[in-house]
Amino acid sequence: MVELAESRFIKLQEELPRLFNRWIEKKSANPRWVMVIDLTRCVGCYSCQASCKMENGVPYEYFRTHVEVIERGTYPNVRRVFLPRLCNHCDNPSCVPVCPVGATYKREDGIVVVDYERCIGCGYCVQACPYGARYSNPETGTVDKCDYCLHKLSDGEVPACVSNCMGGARIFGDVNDPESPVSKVLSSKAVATLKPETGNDPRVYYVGLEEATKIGPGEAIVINPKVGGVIRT
Amino acid sequence: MTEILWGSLITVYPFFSGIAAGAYIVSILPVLFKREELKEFSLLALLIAWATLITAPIPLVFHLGSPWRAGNIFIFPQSTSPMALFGYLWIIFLIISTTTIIIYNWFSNTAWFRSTVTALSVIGIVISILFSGYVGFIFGSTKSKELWYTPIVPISFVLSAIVSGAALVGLLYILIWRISRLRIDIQALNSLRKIIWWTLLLDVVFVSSEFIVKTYHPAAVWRPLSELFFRHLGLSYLGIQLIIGGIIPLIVLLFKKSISSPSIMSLMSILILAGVFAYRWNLIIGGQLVIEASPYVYTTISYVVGLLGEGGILWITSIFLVWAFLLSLALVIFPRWKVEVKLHD
Ligand code: SF4
Ligand code: SF4
Repeated sequence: MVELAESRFIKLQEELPRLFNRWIEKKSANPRWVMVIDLTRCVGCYSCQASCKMENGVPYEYFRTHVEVIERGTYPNVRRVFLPRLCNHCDNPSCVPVCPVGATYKREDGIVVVDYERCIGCGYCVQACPYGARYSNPETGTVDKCDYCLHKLSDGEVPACVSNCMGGARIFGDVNDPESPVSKVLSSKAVATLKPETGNDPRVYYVGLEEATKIGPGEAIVINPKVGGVIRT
Repeated sequence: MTEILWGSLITVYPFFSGIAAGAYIVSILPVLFKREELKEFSLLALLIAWATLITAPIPLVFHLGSPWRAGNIFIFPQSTSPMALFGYLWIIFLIISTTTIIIYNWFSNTAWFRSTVTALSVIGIVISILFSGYVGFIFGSTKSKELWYTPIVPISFVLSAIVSGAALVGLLYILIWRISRLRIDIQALNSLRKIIWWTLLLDVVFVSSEFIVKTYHPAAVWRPLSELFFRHLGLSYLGIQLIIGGIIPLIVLLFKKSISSPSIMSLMSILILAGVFAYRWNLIIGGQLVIEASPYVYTTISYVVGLLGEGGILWITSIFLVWAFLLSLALVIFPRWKVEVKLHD
């Protein structure tokens, strides 16, 4: 039984990029890449976190994407909510205008990228990002962050975190294509973005975000692999 | 990863750039505002500004992840970035101060001497204010950090720059004049005392009002900040920055008598310099000690400076030694500061 499930899962994993490839061929001329994370489907398995690290060679203790765990309530009425985080590829990003050398910019297709050849590693963009989405990579001397696995995307594949998401919580695609999976989710479900008050116009959407962010004092504890330890609200 | 990104090296940079700007402003007061009594140490102030200006970028460059690409800031400057201003302001400031020093040392008998120095000083005062203010703007415009994001920061950076520059000029004036067995001009020192006092008063008022306003922030924001102010930065913020480097010098320097003993003036200058350094430290390090564990859930972390390694005490000491060497060199290769004193006597 387990073997059967495993083999089906592996098949699905192999099939996904091919399906995406076929869909990408029909994609609109001007793609606009967007991610939706359905928190009601996230099981907190950390596959996205681990696969991203492997795919992009992210050093130990650093993350391009990570999963925060929010434990709510008091025993016996407790509940865990998982909040996967990554760069929001904001439409009005704080990280872009502050870069002294123009090494970080937003592409036409909506992806905010870093030019690793030009970046001097000053860290200003890391400080400016209100989402803590960037880190200074000690191995390369530049900053780094999620780029939706640009190398995979140009090969017609989805980002590693999407293809490895066992709960199907990460949905990725071209928002300009009404047939794309993201467009369908965006038109059928209520979505929200993280900290909209920053004015950054984040472009990673969440389904069921309220439960993860509307927490009063003393109502929950947070476990974040980037911070370490357990933080009480 | 709970290490902070901008560590002790970055705190040294605004300290130095502030002193450079402040000392420069003191040096041009006789030219622009006819404060003749300040001529006594205006050339010394200019040399202090010059040596400090050259030292200032050292910690910055060492802190970069890719220091070998530092030149990109000149090649690809992005106009929207306050940090991109650095390269240009620094170069212009360096050219102006070096040219002024050369003119004072070797062309003071020429017909164009006065008009050229005045013109350079007019540009220089604007550049020096921008140079100290832009650093504050880097922090003041960063909305992701609760402690940084305030319009007060650029203003208080300019004010504390003037205070620290003037305090260092006063301290070194007393020290060098004593070593050189020259007579200390009490009138000049009194004038400097007044400049320091008024600027320090404004600075303390701005910084304290900022603190008071923060106590009225929503509880979720104030909670980690209070932990920061009273636990992590207790000594350096309330102790060194506000009391030792602010309130005590304000009380002592209020009285003209304080300069009758150069030792008291020297001590006050040291306290003020410690206070300004603490200000840079508290703002830069402190701002990064509050971290967001999840949206709207804040916590604080600690920061300890090591002895060795990047940003360790040894590094910081070495940068100060480089500065001392450059200043000594400047005093030797640009000897006019002594002649100017004798002429004045
Ligand atoms: S989340 Fe941060 S790093 Fe990503 S685009 Fe927005 S501001 Fe930039
Ligand atoms: S670290 Fe690199 S990308 Fe970020 S602001 Fe500095 S130069 Fe630009």
